[in-house]
Amino acid sequence: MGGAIPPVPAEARTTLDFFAAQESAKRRTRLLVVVFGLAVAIDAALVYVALASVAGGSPGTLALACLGTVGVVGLGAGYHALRLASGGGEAVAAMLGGTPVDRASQDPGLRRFVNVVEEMAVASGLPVPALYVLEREPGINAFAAGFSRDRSVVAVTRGALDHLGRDELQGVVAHELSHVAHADTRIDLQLMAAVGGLTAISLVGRVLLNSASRSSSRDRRNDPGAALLVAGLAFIVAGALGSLLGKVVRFAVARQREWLADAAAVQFTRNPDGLAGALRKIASEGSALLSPRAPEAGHLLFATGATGIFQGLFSTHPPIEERIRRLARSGEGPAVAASATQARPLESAALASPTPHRQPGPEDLERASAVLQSFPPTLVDAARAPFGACALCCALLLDEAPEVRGRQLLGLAEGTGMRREAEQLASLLSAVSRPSRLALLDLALPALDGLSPEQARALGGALQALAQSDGTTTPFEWAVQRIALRRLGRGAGVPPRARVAALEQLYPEALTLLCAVARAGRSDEAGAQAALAAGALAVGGGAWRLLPADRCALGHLDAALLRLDESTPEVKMKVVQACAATALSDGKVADDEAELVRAFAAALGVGVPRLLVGG
Amino acid sequence: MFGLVVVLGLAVAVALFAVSLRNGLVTRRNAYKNAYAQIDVQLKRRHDLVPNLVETAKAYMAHERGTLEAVVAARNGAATAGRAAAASPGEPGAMSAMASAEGALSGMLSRFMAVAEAYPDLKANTNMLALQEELSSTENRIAFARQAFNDAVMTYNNARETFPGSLLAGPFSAATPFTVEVPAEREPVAVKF
Repeated sequence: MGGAIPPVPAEARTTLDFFAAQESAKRRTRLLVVVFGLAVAIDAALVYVALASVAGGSPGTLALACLGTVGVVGLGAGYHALRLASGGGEAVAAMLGGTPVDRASQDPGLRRFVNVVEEMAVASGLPVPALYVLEREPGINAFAAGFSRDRSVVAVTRGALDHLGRDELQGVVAHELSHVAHADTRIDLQLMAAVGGLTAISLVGRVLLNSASRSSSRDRRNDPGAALLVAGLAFIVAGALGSLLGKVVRFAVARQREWLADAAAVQFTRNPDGLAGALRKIASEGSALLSPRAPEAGHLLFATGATGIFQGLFSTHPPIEERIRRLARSGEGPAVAASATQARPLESAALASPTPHRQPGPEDLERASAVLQSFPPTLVDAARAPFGACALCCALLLDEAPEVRGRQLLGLAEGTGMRREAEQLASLLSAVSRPSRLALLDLALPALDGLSPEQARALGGALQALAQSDGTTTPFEWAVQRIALRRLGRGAGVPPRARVAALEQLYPEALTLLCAVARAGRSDEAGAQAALAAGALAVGGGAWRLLPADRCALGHLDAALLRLDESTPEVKMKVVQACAATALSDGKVADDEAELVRAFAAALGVGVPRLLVGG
Repeated sequence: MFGLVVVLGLAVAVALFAVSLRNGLVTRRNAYKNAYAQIDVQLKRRHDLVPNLVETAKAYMAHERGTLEAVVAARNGAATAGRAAAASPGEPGAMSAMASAEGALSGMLSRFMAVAEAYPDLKANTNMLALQEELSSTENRIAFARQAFNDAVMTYNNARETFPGSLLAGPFSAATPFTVEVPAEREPVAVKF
């Protein structure tokens, strides 16, 4: 994605809703058609001036000018419409080198494409269009063409099939089907024809000029030649101005139709991330078509195929960055429930390499996607499926030492493939830094929701056995268990009903947690006491004495957390923030400290405070 | 004379406007009814797919006979309920029976998929991969068909309830969107660790 995304102005947020966005695009299209009418009116005025210079101004001349202009524009438009309509959607696809796709094809890539198109046809209530693939095009692009809903064509490039994920392809296809549903190809054709009609006025001017030069060569003394000359020039100017204005309007309409199609794609898929992902891939990998005839079809394409030639007023597409930005905004909207679940893995990965407790901003998302990309793809894939996520949780707890690991693996049940999968993932994990491992766990959490209560209980037992198999439990192992168990237990039991609102009642428990963090960060008593003082200050606890190491061991933490879980969210938040203050007191955060605070936050179900700036 | 022409012109304009409003309402009502038929089409597609899926999985999941039989039973139940609902469209009892049978089939299929996760050979089978794509595509289609239906219902209700459409909405009854039945809690899947 690149550079920072500018903040969204408050007034723009009102167009969050994709239905509203579509309405606004349609309204603007209507407005532009009125502007187009004005362009014709200006032309009529110029023609009137031209005629008045020849025949003198009168209401009759005005009527003649208006009727004449409308007549010439109408005739020219009709001629152009006939000429353009001969090439339907199939002709455009053939021109760009497309091959038709058999809807019963067994090729996996094509199969997926066919399915995605059929799904989107269901979502948009359209008949399934004819499908084409531009086999020789490695760029990511697509287009829809055809003048009626029943005889339309949707084509994608081979690059789009190869590079886009299913959701992304779905977004692109939904965008194209919106062009079909809203008859955008026909609207564009009509405008193109009307622009052709306006150009026809110049043609009249040229004819007049020719006759003027002939008449003046025949008879130099006569006035009509000069008058014809003036009239002809005026016609040419009128035609040129009219067609220029017409073109500007046509491109502006095309851009509005792109906004409309983006918003409609979100309506059809209810998933702005798919389309935004496709646009991002295009922004980084390019959408240019190799076919020499691509510029002729530029206005039909998903993204501008011929780049860098048209800018601003003469562009058929809005800038890609702006399209991504508006989609990201529609993802924040309350109307799009799907995006919330889609965004979760990224967001939680951002939180895991500790980030502030506030709304995640663009920089968090960028860092999160960087974290995500640093993982081996196998691990990320595993984290997204229920089976892989279970194996990943187990793998995180496998010991480095071979003999311990062997014993641990034997403890995992045989015959389910879990043992093999966990071992394989563990070997990949050695390449992942320790702070990032918890981010990986966050990534796996949503998949754990798919487990049945039986499976969840079995996994919980397995994790406990793994953590204890080497006799000791490290803060990391403890954190993995806490975080995973909290997620597994979600929805299983009723949350504790007693709500302790006074932090003072929970000072002993808070002290236990703070001491654990303080001791994890500093090995010397004095340092740990200083760290504790920073945390105690944050909860307003006064001069607390450091607990002996065995009183704040991991086993005691469970009991303290259970008790703290009965407090109000505000109290929990204060305690976790105090723990963060303790961890930060010496200016640096050890892995142990960070993991403990992460686990506390997970066990209490509150957000993770910022520990490391820019971590 | 001139006044009469103006009055007549206005009357014609109002009449034309009323006709287009009414036609708009009829079009939208038909659109949402057609969208409802689409849901049915996609549900049938799923019924046709399940036997193939079970046939393919049988060879690999011999000792998961119980799961496979449950899937087939759920599929047959949904197909029967679907036929009953098609015989008496709009009848609330049949509709809710169909919805809960489909919900049960959805639950069974996701349970089947969770079990299939544990069979790497089955997961790698090309036939199974193709069927999986078909099944997830069908699930998508069902969801999209419902979504299209709900969107059509919303557009229709908006046209019916907002001014000036509300003036003509007398004979047009309100449509209710499709709400997804939450299937009863899934039975646990036996996966050992």
